[in-house]
Amino acid sequence: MTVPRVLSRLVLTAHIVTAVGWLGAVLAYLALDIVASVSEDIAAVRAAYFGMDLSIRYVIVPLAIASVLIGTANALTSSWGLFRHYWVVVKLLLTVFATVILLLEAQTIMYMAELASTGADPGNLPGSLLHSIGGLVVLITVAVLSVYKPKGLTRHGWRQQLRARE
Amino acid sequence: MSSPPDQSSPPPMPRWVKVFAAIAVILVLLVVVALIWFPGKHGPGRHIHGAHSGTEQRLEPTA
Repeated sequence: MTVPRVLSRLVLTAHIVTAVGWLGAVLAYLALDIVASVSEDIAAVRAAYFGMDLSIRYVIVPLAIASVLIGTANALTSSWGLFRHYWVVVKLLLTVFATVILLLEAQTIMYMAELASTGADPGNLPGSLLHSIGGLVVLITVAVLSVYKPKGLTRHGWRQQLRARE
Repeated sequence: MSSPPDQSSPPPMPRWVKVFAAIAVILVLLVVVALIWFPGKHGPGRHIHGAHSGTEQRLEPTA
């Protein structure tokens, strides 16, 4: 897809901001999740769940959805395309997978935060440490793929290159 | 950038993609095994169940 250079730069900037913002937000969330999972201070655990609820509701989920949408737009408006190179396809799959798991987990976190805000002992809540660490690993993998752009044309990309040479 | 494609056949899938795919398959299998081994111990249901047990234990007033 051919778009003006100004527009493609704008989309690329938005893509980087949302993707890096998502990674940073997950790091901050992980700190809260560690407190919620291991702290024995009830007030700290309760505050951690409150922060996790806010961050997942107003920062992480919006950034994840924006990353998928803007990332797709960025691929389509750049010379890389969406299905021409394996690294772009793998990035897309990982991002969509992380977003789906996040949306499922978000409901649980909101529910746990609601319970933690009541008189119940929040220390009994299971936390979401495994999901947080898994999400972080996926997002770092996506960032590494974006920087290194490992070689590899898909069949679709190969056909397109042949057509362009004819 | 990728090397120029061979005119006759599409390029083979790179090794790093195969490694990624193998890791993904292993992780999926691990999750499936965990779900079978510990039924009801994963997902929102687990958390909600755990949370319900949590509500039964009321906080004692702290000094």
